[in-house]
Amino acid sequence: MPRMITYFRVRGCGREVAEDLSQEVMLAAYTQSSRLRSRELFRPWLFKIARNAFLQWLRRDSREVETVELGAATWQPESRSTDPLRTLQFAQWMAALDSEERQIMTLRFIEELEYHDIAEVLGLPLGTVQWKIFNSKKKLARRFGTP
Amino acid sequence: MEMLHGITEQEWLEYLDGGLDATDAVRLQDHANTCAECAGTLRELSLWREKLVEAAALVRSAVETLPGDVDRLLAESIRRIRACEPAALRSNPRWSFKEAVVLLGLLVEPFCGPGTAGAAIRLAVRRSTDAQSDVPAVWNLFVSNMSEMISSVCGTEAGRLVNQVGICLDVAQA
Amino acid sequence: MIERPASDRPAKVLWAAMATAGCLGIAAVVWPVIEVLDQPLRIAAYIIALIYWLKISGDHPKGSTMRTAWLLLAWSSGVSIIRHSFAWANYFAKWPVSIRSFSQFPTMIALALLIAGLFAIWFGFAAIGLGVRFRRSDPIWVAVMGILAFVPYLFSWRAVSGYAVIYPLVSLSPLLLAVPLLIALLLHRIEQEMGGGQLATSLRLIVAFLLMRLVALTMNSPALASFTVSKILVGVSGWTSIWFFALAAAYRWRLTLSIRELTYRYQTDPEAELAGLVLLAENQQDVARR
Repeated sequence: MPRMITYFRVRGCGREVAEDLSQEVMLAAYTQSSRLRSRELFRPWLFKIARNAFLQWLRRDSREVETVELGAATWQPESRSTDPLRTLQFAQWMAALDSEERQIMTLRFIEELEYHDIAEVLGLPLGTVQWKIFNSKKKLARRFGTP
Repeated sequence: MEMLHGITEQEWLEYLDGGLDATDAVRLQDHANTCAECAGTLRELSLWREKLVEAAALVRSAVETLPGDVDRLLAESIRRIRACEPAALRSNPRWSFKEAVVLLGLLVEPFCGPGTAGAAIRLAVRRSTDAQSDVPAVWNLFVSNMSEMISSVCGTEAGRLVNQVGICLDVAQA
Repeated sequence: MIERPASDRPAKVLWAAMATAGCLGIAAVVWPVIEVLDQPLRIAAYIIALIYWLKISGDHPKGSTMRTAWLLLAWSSGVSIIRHSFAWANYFAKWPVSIRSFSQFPTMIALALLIAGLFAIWFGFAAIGLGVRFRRSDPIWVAVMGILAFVPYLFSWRAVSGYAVIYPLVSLSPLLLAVPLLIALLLHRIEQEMGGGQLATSLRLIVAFLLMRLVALTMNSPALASFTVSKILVGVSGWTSIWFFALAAAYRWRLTLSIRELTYRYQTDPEAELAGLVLLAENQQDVARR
């Protein structure tokens, strides 16, 4: 449950919305549990449900799906102006990446998912995920330098 | 996937994560010791990995949920799940007729005693049974008859309870 | 909105009242002045019983046998209130026998209503197959009860009244005593066949009420009344018997409240309650296997 809340919070949801969406994820996980093919796939499966819930929430709120990931420059000002996450360095770094890189890096470092889990959640090949992470770090190093 | 001096991005990442097998790890390290470009890449990747891990930890702590809130939210989730459960269960019959009869009998025993429960069940089965077989054809008919028997001695509320619980039980029809 | 049921307190109060009445009944043997409390206590018990029987009758559909039974018991209680009010008034007014003998009317009516109510209870259970099988010892019990029922009658010929209509009523009294006793036997068999449960407790208390009445009437007959043991038995049984009647009603009402509480729990959390029921079934199976 806390990880679900973190998932939604770092993607720009307020606390109440994050809690509500987390409960929706729990309920969906329970009612759709028969669709889980194996226990090993539980984590990516749960995050897939979370991602779908997040995208549905975006559509309900008429937000632009592609742009409301962590660090996106086109966030609606009124929903982000008081968001303390924007002041955190992680968010600033993510803003330098493209949407897909941002999603992958967030899942890797915030949600701490393994490469194959990230591939499962986003529906990408494993090699693509690893290449994207490699590339993202290189991009960040070029943009912000290496300490 | 691009390769830098014969080393793929996958191998770089797995080396940093400690996921590379010993032979490949030695090969990569040996190469990094001799190639300035690859040594620079390795240092870059390693340092950014550390920075990203630290920064991500700060993000998680900024949105951390308090234990009390977790308990509250879990309880709320369980409540929502339970509110949905009857619909899910109805599609999956769980009880045989005999099992369900036993459960209904146990339900009423504290009020009317096992003897009355047994008498009511026997009478309800007899009234619900097809003359050609000894297995009641329809669970709902049995529940209705049982409810009538129990309410005749214990009151309308008892009959209503039997009806309510009988409907809750998902019984596989014969 | 389902109301939450009351606690066991009413039953505890009635048990305490019965114990108090029993003590007062014994004390009245030594201090006759305490007898002034006899009739008010009976009236109080009948009022409580009347209220409960009426509430209980509301839990059955109109025209049903059990509803009729509980209503008959309620009316019997109502007529008994009139009878004992008359007796209490007489305690102070000291009316002559000719006036006092009128108490036979409400006495007989109350008894007749009681018999009809008890018979209706038996009929209600007989409809589902309970109380229709008898044991070999039952004829002996019937004979004993018949003899005991006639003991008061043997001495009732001494009753004096200025009204001829009273004597047939008096002569009917053994019948009206014996029949409730027979029905008591039927109810006892029913509660044995029930094998327990809250409803069986209520029936048991009705049986106790009828037996205590018989003991009180028998011990109070002129041939036995002079003995101290008889006086004490009359004191205990006579003063406590009606409280068994009130307790029977209270326990039957508690059954309705228990059912309401369980209905509420099933409405609130059906899965948890069903899980508890399943666990009970599994435990019983384990016990049976052992």
